[in-house]
Amino acid sequence: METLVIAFDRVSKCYPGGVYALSDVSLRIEQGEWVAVMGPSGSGKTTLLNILDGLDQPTSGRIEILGRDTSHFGTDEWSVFRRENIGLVFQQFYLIPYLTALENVMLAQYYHSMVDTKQAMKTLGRIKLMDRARHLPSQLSGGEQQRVCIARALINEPKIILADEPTGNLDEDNEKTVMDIFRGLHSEGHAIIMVTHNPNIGQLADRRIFLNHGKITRSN
Amino acid sequence: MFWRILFDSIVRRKLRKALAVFAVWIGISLVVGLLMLSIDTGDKMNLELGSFGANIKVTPVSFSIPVTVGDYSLNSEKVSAYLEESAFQKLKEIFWRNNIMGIVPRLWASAQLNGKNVPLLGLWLEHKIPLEGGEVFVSGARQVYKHWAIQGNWPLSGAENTGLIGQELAGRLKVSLGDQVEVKTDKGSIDLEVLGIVSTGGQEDSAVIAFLETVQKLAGLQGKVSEADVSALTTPENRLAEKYRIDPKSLTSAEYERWYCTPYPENIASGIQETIPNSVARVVRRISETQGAVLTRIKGLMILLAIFTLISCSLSIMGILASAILDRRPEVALLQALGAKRTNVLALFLVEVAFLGILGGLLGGITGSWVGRGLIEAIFGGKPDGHLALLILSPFLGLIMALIGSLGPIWKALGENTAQVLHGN
Repeated sequence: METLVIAFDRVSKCYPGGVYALSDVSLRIEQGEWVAVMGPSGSGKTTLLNILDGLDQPTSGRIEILGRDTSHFGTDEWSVFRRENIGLVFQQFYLIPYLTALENVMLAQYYHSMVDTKQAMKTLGRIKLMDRARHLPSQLSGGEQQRVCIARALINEPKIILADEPTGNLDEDNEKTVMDIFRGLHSEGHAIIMVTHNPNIGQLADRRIFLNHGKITRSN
Repeated sequence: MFWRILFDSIVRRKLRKALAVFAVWIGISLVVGLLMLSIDTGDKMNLELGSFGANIKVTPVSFSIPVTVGDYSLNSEKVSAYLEESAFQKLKEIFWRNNIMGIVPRLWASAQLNGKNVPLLGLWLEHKIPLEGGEVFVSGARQVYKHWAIQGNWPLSGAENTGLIGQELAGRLKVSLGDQVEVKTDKGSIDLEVLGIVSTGGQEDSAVIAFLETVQKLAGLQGKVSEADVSALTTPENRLAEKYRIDPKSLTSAEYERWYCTPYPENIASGIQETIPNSVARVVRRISETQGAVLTRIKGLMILLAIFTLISCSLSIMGILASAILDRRPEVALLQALGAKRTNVLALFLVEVAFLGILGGLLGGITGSWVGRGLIEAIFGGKPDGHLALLILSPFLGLIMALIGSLGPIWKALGENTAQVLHGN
C-alpha cells in the first residue's frame, strides 16, 4: 500500500520585493516514488527543494512530511527532523575538505546518533568506494566525491532523499555511475526528489514535475 | 567524533591554522612586550632619574631654646646636633626598605690643606650594609651621586688614605690627580692621595672629600654625621596624596590604608624620620616633583601605547579570524544541514579557536617576554624584573582575543541562510 510522504498544500514563497519563487504549489509524493523536478533556471526548482529540506521557509501554505506538519518548525526542530528523515545530495558535493571519505560519512552519523565505523564502511561499500575510505576529498575524483556525498545521505537510512542536480558537475561516465546508485536506492523504497535540467535523467524518474515562474505547469 | 573533527581540522589544515596562531602570536608578543616595558618603566626610570640626586634630605633637628622674661623673648640660641651613623644601617630594615635605593650619610668639618682652611666632607663612598638572608646592600656616593663628574677614579673601600678634591679647590690650590696632600685638623692629620677631581655644581666643588670614618677621626666625631642624602623609589603624588595633604580626615579607612601603603615621597620621609633619632627628613621637591612629573607622563604614555597595541592587535586578529571563519561558511551551513544544532557548530568552532588562541598566546607570552627584556635592556641597560604573571596571563589573553575576534564571525556564519550558502539560491 502506498504511503504519502510529502504533501504540499498551496505553498507559496515570496521574496522581498514581491518576487514569487513558488506560487500556490500543491504536490503529493508517495513512499518509494522518484520525482524529477524540472524547469528552466529561476523557475523555483531549488526553492521547492529548500522548502522540502527545511533550509528555507514558505511564506504561506501547509506542508506535511511523513505525517508531520512542518510549516511551523523552528531551526533546531528542523535540524532534528532532517537528520532523522532526510538525506541531502548536493550538486557541489560539500564534503568537509579536512575529513576523509569515511569521516565525512561518519559526520552525518555523529549528528544523528552515534558513530559506527563498520556501518560507515559498509555504506561506502554500497557505492563501491571502500578502498577510497581513507582518502581526503581532494584525492578523489568528482564522481567519487559525489558518491561519498550520496553515502553520507544514506548512512542514517532516511526515508526521503533530496538531490539537487546530483550529476550537474559530473562527466558522462560518472553520471551513469551515480544514476545507477539512485536506481538502486529507488528500488530499495526510498522516496527520491531530484532537481535536474537533464531530460535523460528526468526520464529515469517515476514522475516529472515541470515548474515555470513558480507554478507547476505540467506533471507526468 | 567531536575531537576527531577538531584534530583533523587542525592537523590537516596546518597552514590556515598556523596563520591564525601566528596572528595571535605576534599580537600577544607586542602586547606582552609593551606591558613588560610599561611595568618596568616606573622602577627603571626612577633609577635613571636617581641620577638627578637624592630625593630625601635628612638633617638633625635644630631646636631653639627660648629665653623669656615675662612676656619678652630675649634671645634664642640655636643648637646644632649630629645624627648617629649607625642609625642609617636600620633604614634597610624599615617598611620602605625595598624603596630605599641609596643612603649617603655626610659629615662636614674644617681642615687645613697646604696651610689653607678648607671644608672637609666625609661620606659613605661605597658602604656595605648586611641584610637579612646574607645579602649585602652597597650604598654610597658612587651609587647615589650619579650626576657627579669625576676626573680620575672613585676611591675604593679599604683605601682610607685616598680621596677626592673639588674642582674649584683643586684649581685654586693647584692640586692635580695623584698628588699626596696633607689634611690637617686640630685632632690629627692624614696624607691623602687625590684619586679624583670632582665637579658637582654644589658645595663639594670647594671641599676635600674623604671616607666618612677618616673625617670622623680627624674631626673627633666618631660615629657622628651632620646630614644624609637618601635616594628612594617613590610613587608620584596623585589625587589620593593630594586629598590627604589637604585634609587627612577626609580619607575613608580603605583610602587611608591605600595611602599608607603607597610609597609617596612624604610617606618614605616620614618612615626615615621615625627611624633616625633626632632627625628631620625632608623631601627634595625639586627632584621629587621632576621625577614625579616625568614618571607620570612616561607611564601614561606606555599604558596608552599598550592599550593602542592591544586594540590594533585585536582588530588585526579579528580580521584574520573573521576571514578564516567566513571562508568556512559552507562548512557551517553543511553541518547545520546535516542536523547539527547551532550550539553544536558553535562549540566546535569555539573550541578550535580557543586552542589556537591559547597556543598563540603561549608563544606570544614567550616571545613577548623576550621582546620586553630586549627593549628594557636596550632602553635602560639593566636586567628586567621577572614577569611570570604576564607569561601565565598571556595564554588567557590569547584566548580572550581569539574568542572576541571569532565570536562575531561565527555567529554571523550561523545566521547565514543555509539554503543560500549551499544551493546558491
